[in-house]
Amino acid sequence: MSNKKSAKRFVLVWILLPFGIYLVVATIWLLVGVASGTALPRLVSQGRMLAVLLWVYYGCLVASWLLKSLAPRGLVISRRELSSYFYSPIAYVAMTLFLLATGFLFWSDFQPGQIAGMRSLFEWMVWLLVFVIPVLSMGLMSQEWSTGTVETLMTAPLSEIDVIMGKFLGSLCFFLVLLAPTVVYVILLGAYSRPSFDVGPIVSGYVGIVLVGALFIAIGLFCSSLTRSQVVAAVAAAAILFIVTIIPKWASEKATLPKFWRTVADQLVFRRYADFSRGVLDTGHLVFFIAATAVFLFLSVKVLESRRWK
Amino acid sequence: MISVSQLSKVFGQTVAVDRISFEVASGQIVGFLGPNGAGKSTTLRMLTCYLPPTSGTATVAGFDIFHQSRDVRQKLGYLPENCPLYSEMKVEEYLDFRGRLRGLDRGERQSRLGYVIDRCWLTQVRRKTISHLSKGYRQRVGLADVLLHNPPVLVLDEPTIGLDPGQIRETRKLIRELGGKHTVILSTHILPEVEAVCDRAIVIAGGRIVAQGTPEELRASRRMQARVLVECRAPADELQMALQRVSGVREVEVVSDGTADKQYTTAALRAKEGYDIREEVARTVIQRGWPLREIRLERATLEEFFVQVTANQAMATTEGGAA
Repeated sequence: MSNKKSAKRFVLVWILLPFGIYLVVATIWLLVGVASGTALPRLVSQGRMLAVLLWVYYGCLVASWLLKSLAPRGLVISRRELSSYFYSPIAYVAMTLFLLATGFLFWSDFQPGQIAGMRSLFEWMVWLLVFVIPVLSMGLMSQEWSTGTVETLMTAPLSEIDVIMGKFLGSLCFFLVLLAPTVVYVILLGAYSRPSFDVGPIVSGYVGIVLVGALFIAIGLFCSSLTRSQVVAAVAAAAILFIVTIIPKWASEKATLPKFWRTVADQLVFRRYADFSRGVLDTGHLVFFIAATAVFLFLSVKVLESRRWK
Repeated sequence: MISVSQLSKVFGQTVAVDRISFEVASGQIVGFLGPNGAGKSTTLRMLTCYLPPTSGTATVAGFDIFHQSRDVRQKLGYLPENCPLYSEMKVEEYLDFRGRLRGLDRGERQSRLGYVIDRCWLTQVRRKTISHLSKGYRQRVGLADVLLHNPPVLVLDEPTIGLDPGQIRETRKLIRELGGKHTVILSTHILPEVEAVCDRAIVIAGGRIVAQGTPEELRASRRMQARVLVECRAPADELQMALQRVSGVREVEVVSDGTADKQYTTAALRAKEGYDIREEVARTVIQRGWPLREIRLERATLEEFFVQVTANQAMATTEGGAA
């Protein structure tokens, strides 16, 4: 009985209320626009931005529900994982190198007469991630194996999914921290571009880079769960990332590539990512990145479980 | 509290644990004793649900280790060998993390944290980074973690390994005090530890239980009856003949026949059950006019017992392998 009641309450507060707020704000915004007779502010222009916010909110709701039911203790682990990054020098080194490189790339495009966009920066960022993410993810599981802490972890009342999801989310959070300073470039663009620059491709570019980062971290986590050695984990992850990202890019630049291999190359990371940096949010690409990330997370869970039947 | 029946673990071709069964009553401290590689750690790992058994079952606090693994893990605290910790964390931070993992809420976590830090003498280092701690302190942090959620069952894998004598004594005292409130299983290959700490010992060798009982029971077991050592100036064979006739003597063995040590002969006697043969032996020796230098009852140490049973086991397995 009380369960039913709380479910009702949940729907009311967390699902219907935000929708109501959305309707009210959108209406007020429209009325204000009509009354003042000026061009409508961006927020509701063609009803887009506010709706996107609402969908992002619902997305987060579903994600948190999934996390709660799949990995109830996952967040505890991700918190630890995130804070442990800030204790290790290697994370700072990776961060510094990443920011230096993106800063240089941005600076070389940020010239009078150039297009006010970040497209080439986003494309180069994927190159950087192929080498930066293995460094960030190499210790995730391999350190647990080599120090034996996995034993304390797996004899606490939590499941393998908790551990893998926790590590993945912690690492993803650190990746977001790594990415956060690049927002400065957007602000610079906003300040210096005339007329004002197009926000769309930059937002979609960020969505793309986060998805790519998530996939790369999942691959790195998978490699890390296979071995005790961090070096082996990093090299293996970098090799896989190279194969799924950079080789297809090189191959597709060759005009003589057979049709079959061209099709294959187009399915892999780089071509799909390139669409994001152009401002295209293709659901096919979204599904590809989310599904591929899920596959590698699933494999990592299985590797962690494999000690049971080895 | 813990009941194990026919538990086995096979890794590829090697049998690490071979159909062992035992029971541990609530509040008991049980020592798991055996040479390295005897299957102690594997057994403990199965009990703590880290590894599933190949066959057999066990229950901990009433829960099956295979089917109710999460409940079992909620009910026990496990300190693995060498005490692995996240060395970049601070002591308090680590314990707080472990508390969250066990699902303790904020208030509970804070009160338990205070208790275990106090209990394991960690007050001085509570804000220190674990990698800066000495081995002894690290071990205490491990113990504090094990006690954090106040589990009814504690499983400690070699809790005193690598500690200095003072720390070993402290740790043993702590474990001793934990008995009664908690059921403790600890593994060790150090014999005095079992005698100092445990209510009961289970001796394991080659993956099998070769003996179990209280330390006194093990010492008193038939194989390890006390010996009487007699040292006097007498010819070895004559001494042996004379002592053989003393009533109550089961067997006489000449340990050293006097050639080395100025004609003093040492004989070791085993008595029949229920006899104290010392007075009779002394009388016999004096009557024969042999100068008596020493007569002494030698109590068997657990160490000898241990060496004997594990050696037997090793012999049995090699014979089995040859056949």
